[in-house]
Amino acid sequence: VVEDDPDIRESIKDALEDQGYRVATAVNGRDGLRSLGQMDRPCTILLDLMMPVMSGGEFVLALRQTEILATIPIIVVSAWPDEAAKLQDQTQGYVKKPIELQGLLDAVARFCAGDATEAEVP
Amino acid sequence: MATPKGAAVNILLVDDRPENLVSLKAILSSADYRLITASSGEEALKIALREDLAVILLDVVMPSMDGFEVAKHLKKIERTSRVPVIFLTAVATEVRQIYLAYSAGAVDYLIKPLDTAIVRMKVAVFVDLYLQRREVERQARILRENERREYELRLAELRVASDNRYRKLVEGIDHAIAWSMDPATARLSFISRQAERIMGYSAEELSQPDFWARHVPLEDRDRVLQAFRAASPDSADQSIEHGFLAAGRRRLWLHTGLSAVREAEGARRELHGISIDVTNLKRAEEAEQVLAQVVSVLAESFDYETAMTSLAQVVVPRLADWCVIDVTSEDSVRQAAVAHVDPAKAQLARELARRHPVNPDEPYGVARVLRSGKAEIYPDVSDAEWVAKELGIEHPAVLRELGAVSYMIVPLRARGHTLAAMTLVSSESQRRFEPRDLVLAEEVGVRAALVIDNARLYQGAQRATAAREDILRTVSHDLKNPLSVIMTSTERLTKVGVAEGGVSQTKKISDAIRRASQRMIRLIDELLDMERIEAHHLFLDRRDHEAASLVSDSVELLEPLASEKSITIRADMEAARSVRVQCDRNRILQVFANLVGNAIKFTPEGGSVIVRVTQQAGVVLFAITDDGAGIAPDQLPHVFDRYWQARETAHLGTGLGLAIVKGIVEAHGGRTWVESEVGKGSTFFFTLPRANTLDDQPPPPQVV
Repeated sequence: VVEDDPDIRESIKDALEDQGYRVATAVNGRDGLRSLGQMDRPCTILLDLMMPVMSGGEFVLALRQTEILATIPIIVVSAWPDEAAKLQDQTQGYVKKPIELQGLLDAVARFCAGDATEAEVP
Repeated sequence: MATPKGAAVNILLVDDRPENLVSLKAILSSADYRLITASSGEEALKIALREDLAVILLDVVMPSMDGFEVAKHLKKIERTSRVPVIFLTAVATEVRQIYLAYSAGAVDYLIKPLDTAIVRMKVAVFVDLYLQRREVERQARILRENERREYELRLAELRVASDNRYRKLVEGIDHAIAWSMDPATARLSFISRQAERIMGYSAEELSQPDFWARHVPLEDRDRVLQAFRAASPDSADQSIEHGFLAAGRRRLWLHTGLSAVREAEGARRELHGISIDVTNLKRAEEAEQVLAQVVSVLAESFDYETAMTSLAQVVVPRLADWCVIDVTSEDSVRQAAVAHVDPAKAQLARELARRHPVNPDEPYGVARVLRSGKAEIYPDVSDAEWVAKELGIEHPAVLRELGAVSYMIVPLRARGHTLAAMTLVSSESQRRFEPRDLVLAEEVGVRAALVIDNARLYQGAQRATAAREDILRTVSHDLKNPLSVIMTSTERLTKVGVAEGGVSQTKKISDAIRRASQRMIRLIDELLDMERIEAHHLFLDRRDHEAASLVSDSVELLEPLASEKSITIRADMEAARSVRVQCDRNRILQVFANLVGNAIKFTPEGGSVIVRVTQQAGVVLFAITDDGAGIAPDQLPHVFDRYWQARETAHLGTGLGLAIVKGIVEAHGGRTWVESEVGKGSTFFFTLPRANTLDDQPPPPQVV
C-alpha cells in the first residue's frame, strides 16, 4: 500500500490483514520503490496518486522501467478519476475514494487469491 | 474801369490789312488791355481757342475766310460761343449786311472809317461786361469751393462718427475682433480693442507689419494669406477658419469673415475683417471627438493593458505630445503605456521609466497624484531645475532633452480608489496646458478608470471562480480521504464482529473512525474560515487580553502534541509582561495552534520550539521559532498562499492553515511574515495591536 495519508494507509492495511494478507506500506512513491527492493515480490500494489516527493504517476513510470518489477499489477486508489484514467494503460485496476471496502477487496482478490489462502495456512 | 486783381483783359483784333490793325491798336492802347492781333480768319480761330477773350473786333471783308464765317465757327465752339464779336464793316449802310452780321452772332458793329471815341466806348462796354461776368464766375467758384470744403468737412465728421459707431458696435461683441488692413502691405490700419484681451498682445505688437503671418500657425498660414490676397471688392465676401497663436503660446481658433472695399478716391483696396474667437466651440467639438474616440478604443478590449496602450495612442497627439500611464497594482506602480508623437522619443520615455520606476512613497509627481487622487498641472516647465525637483527627476537635463513645455498628471479614479495616473506632456507642439485642458484630461481619466476598474472586477470575479473551483477540488479530495477511512472502518466493523475480533480490535477501528471524523470537521471549519476571510466576513469578538496569557494557554494546549515527539516548547515572555492586546481570544489561539502546530510538525524529535513575545511601537510582536528543515528562499513569498504546503508533508493538512493565520491576523490589523534558513529552521512572526489601556471596557463585537 503506497499512500501518504496515514489514516487511510492504516485502515487499508488493517482491512487487508483482516482478510489474511501480508501488507507492507510506504508513504510515497520513492518510499514504495525502496520497500519493493527490500521485500518479496507482492502480488499487487495499491497506489495513491497525489503524494509528495514522488507521485503515483511517477512511481508507475519508474516501476515499468525496471525488468523484474514491471509486471506487478497495480491498483490505483484515488479520488481523481481523470488522473486514474491517464494511467489506465499502465495499471490493472482502479478503486475510487472514498473507498468501498468490498470493491477494494474484490480488486485485490483478482490478483492475490492464492496468496491470501497461503497466508492463512501457516 | 480798372480790371480787378490787376490782370489785363485780352482783346482780339482781326483784320487782313496790317495798317488797320496798327490803327486799332493805337486807338485801344491801354494798360488794361492786352491786344492780340490776327491777320486772317483761320489765325483768329486758333487764338480764340487758346485765349480767354473779353471781346473780338472782327473785320468782315477778308480773303479766304470772311468775318461772318469766322463768327459762325466761334458760335459752334463751346469755349468761344459766348465771346462778344464786334464787326468792322465799310458797308454798314447795307441793311442786309447788318442782319447777316447779327445772325452770325455779332453783338455790335462799327462802320469804317472808325471813330476813335466810338470804338473805345464800345470796347469798354464789352470789357466791362466781360469783367462783370468774370467776377460773378469767380464769386460763384469761391462759393462752390467753400461749399465743397464744408461738405467734405461734414463728410469727414460723419465718417468719424460712423467709424466710432462701427467700432462701438464691434467692440461690443466681446469674442470678436474687427480689423482693417491694406492688402498690399499686409499692415493693419485698425484693430479693435478686444484684440489686446483676446490675443494678449499689446497695441504695438498688433501693429507690426507681418502680424498675421507671424501668428497664424504654419499649417494654416498659406491658406489665410491667400484668402487675404484674393479678397476683392468685386467678389462675394468670404470666411475662413484658422488657428492663431496668441501670447504665451495659447492656441486660438478664429473664424474670420473678409470683406474688401474700394476707397472712394481711387483704386486702392481696403480689407476689413471680423475675426470671431471660436476657440471654446472648437475645443468643445474637439473634446467631444476625443472623448468619443477614447470611449470607442476603451470599449474594444477586455484587457485593460491593451486598452491603456490604445488610450495613450488616442491621447497623442490630440491632447498632448507625450502620454504615460502608470497603473498601481498591490503596493507597486507599473508603467502600462507610453506614447509619443516621435516614436524615437517614445523609446526614450520607456527607457526613463525603466531606469526610474515610480516609488509609491515619493512625495512628488505621479506618486503624489496616486496618493492624493488630485490632478496636477504645470503650465510652464521652462524652469527645468524646479520642475525636475518637483517631479522627482534626478537630472533636469532629461527634461530638456525631452523638450517638455507643459505638464499634467491626472488620476484615474473609480469607486473612490485611484487606480492609475495619466501623465500628459506638451513638447513638440509648444502648447501650454490650461485649466480647461486639465478638465478634458480628467474626463478622459474617468472613462479610462472605469475600464481598469471593470477589468479588475472581471479579473476578480475570475479569481473568485477559480478560488471556488479550488475549494471544490479540496473538498472533493481532502474530504474523501477521512471519508474513506470511515467507510472502510465501518465495513470492517460489520465483517469482523465482536466475537471474532474482540474488544481491542473494535476499539482500534472506532478510534480510526473518530479521528477521521474529527479531521473532517477541522477541514470543514477551515474551509468555512477561509471563505469568511476572503469575503471579509470574519467575526471577531475583540477584548483586552494579556499577551502572556495567550501564549501560555496556547503552549498548554499544544504540549501533548509536542511531548509525543519529545519536543520542548519554551515560552519567552519576559519582554512583554503585562502587555495587553486587543483580540478575539479563540481566533488567536487558532493562530497559535496553526503556527506552533506547524513548528512541532517540522521540528525533529527531541528538538525545541520557542515562542517569544516582545513589544514594539503600538504593536505586540509574536515569534514562533522551530529548528526544522527551513524553507527554500524561492518558496518563502508563497508560504501564506492558500494550499501552499511544504513538499515533504503535503496532504497532512488542508493547505489552508497559514492562509487562515494571515487572514485572522490581518483582520485584527496585524501583519504576518516569515524568516527562514534552509537547514537551520524558520521563525514565523505576527503582530497584534496593543490594547488601549485607558479604555478597559470591552468594545462591542464587530464584523471585519
